[in-house]
Amino acid sequence: MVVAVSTSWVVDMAFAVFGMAAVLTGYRVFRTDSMVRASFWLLASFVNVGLILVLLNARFLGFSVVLMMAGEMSVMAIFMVMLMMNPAGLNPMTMVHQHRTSLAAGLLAFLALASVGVLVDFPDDPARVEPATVTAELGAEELGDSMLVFQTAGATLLATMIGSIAVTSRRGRYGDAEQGSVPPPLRPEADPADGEGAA
Amino acid sequence: MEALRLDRRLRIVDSPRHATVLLVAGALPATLHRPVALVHDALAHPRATVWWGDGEPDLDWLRDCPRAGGDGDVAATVGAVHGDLMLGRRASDLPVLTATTRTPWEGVGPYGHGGSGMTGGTPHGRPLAERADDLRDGLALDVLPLTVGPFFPAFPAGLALRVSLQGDVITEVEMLADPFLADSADPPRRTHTFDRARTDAVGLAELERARVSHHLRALSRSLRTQGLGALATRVLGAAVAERPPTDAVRRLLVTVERTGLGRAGAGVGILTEASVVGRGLGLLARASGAAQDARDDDPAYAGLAFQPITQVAGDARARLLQRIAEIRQSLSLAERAGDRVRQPGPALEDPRVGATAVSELLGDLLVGAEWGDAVTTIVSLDLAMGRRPPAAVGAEAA
Amino acid sequence: MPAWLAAPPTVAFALAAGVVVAACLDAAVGDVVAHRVPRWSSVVRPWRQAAVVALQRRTSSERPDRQAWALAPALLLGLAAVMLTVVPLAPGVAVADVPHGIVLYGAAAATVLIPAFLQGWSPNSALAMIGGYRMFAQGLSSMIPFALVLIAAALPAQSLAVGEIVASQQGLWNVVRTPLGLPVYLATVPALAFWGPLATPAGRDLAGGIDLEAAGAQLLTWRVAQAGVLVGMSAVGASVFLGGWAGPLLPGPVWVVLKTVALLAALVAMSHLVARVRIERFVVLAWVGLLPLALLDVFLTGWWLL
Repeated sequence: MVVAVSTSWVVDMAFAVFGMAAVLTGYRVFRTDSMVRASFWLLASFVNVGLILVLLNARFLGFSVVLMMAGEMSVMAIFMVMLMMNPAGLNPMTMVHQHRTSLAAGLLAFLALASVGVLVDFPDDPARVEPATVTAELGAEELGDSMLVFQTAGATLLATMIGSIAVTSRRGRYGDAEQGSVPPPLRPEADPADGEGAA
Repeated sequence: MEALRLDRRLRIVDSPRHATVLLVAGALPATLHRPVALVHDALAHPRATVWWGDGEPDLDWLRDCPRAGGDGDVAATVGAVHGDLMLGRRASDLPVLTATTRTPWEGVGPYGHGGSGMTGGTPHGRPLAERADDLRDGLALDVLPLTVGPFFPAFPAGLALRVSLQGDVITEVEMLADPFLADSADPPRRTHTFDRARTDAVGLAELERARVSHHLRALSRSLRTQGLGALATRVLGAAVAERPPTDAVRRLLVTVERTGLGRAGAGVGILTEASVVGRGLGLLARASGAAQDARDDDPAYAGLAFQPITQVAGDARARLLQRIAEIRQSLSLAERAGDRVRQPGPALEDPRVGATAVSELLGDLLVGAEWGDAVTTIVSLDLAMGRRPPAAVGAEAA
Repeated sequence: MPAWLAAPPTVAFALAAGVVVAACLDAAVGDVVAHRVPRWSSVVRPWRQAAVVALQRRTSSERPDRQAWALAPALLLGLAAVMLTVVPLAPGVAVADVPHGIVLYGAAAATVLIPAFLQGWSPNSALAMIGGYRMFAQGLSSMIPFALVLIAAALPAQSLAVGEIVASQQGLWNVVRTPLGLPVYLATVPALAFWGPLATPAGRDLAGGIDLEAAGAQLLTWRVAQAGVLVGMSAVGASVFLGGWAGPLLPGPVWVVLKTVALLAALVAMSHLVARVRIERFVVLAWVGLLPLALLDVFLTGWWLL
């Protein structure tokens, strides 16, 4: 990769390979017959996108995409297994529904994006600067003055996630959560939730 | 049987897939004929079987196997067979079960799953997963019915359970087969010290050393289950040694304690005191807090300041701590016993507790536990009972 | 020879040498713990076992996912190789001395989950599948503290390049400068490499778990790849926390190798002396204990730098 970035035709070739692989593996997501396999095809697609980012000299973003997606697709696969029928893939199942609608929507979206790619006149300005600068410039371009807001929002989201996990935890400071779900008595001395309390 | 683990020429593996030689020891009861055939067929090629025992094997396909006599050097036989196999001087065993007897459903149905449509057929007796209420958090997950045993490496040989799993949480348990009772055809070669003590006078020191040996074996199995194979081998070595130096055993126990072995059993498989009292469970009862020990009333122990040790928690960790404490106690008793002799008559504190008494409790113990905890619990109960079981193990000469 | 041609054989050699050292260490430490007289056969035994496994034919289970099963060991081996590429032997001498080496390493370590899960899931066998789930549970729990301590170690260098991180430790190693880093790292590596006390995905209570159905060349590759991941994680740990090539008298690369072997020996000793940790207990420990510790490590390092 160190070499590839400096040689134009290698970059072009690599881009073509990763791009096609990303589309093909993305296609496989819908052609496979189990949820777990679908998750991993999606991961393969994301890894190829990450490699394209590396080619664009945004290595930090590229590596981060792989790092994050490995974790995320694992979570997705395990949730699929938890919540869907037929976890082990012993009996295959189809990954698509509403065939016609989704086919039309997918085709339309592809054509729209492709026409943008072909018709728009992109500036020719190769990223030949230091990769660290690319990431910084990209961040400044995307967020600009809102950087602090986004950073704060990120920290807030993290705190929210930790908080919601803490709230749903079975073990709390007032004991087992299942015991907390008993309705309180209506009379002061009655036992919680016994029939007499309501009388 | 267990002593084979000490032989450096052999490496006993957990999965039949990793073995080259299947060692069938002793005569097998009829209920195990199919399970042992399944284990045999699960071995990767090239494979061979060695039959270990006296007399004639009761299975047809075992008759032509290489044999090791009951007193012979079984490791050498296995090693020779393994060598021939690896050098191509010996053909690999053919499957015992035919394709139709093994997987009668295979090839039937659109996906070979044994029926028509998505839900047809029950491959290997497993119906399509269906949801069931969850015990823990109300999340309804698929149930996975599974038969484990009778040759599951972490279980005592012969124990077979039918469990229903949600994720790895057990929702139902049914015991299909006990650990080996007296189903073995050939009699034990040497009468166990505790069997002798029921009828004959036995030296107290010898009796306590036999107790130490029994508990060390159980400890070795616990260690092996928790992934400490090398230390387990060392503990087993101390257990089978004729008279292991007391100090060495004490140091070994300290090493065992330092591994944090108990952690795996904290809060796992709790036997309440009420459930164990009066069942003759010996060590298991004492680990739950019941101070019952037949040695307390045994005149042979009078004057040795014998005090039953107890734990409070009753979980797998307490049973482990109890075992270690009782090994120390027995070592000390054996040292102080001198040439005292125990006369038969009073109730004998036999460390080999009855598995039948425990098996009634097993359902309550295991339901709701995670699979790993369930295995820790079963190992901590020490259901092996010290009998000489006929068993099949996968072995590979190293 | 151009650098990019020399890279693959160099990585392959480092990987092979590391795996052999790991196997011999494991056999030798096992003998010491078992109180058996260490013999020369201890060094030969891993080779013999490998030969036996290689001679066995692959087995199949009932309706396995063959592609995923074949992919798993190859992918794991590839990830181990990626880990080794970022390790610098001397200033500027690494196969991939990329500016974001530590992120690349983090991505490789996180991706280890995938082949480990596939190894358990593909055979379509219940106990192996539970092993795969366990890998997810422990891997996802330990990944964040693992990444955080690496970031904390990169803070003083003000760079994500592993070479820069090593160079920044010439005066004071990170093991002293960020004292929480190495302990948290050593607590999470067994979880990600499913090793020692956290070899729960391949535990004996699952009769081998993710290894249960594997045999022959597949199993051999898998075991080699797992050892390779362990070597890669030790090598990066030696660079990031133990000062890499820094050391008196001996040349730099020798120090890198020595420190890697030292960490490897610590991990091997751990596998023989520390009992398995319950998966539920570890998950709680990771979220409630290791994660705050790792965050504290980041904050303390930042405070120290200010």
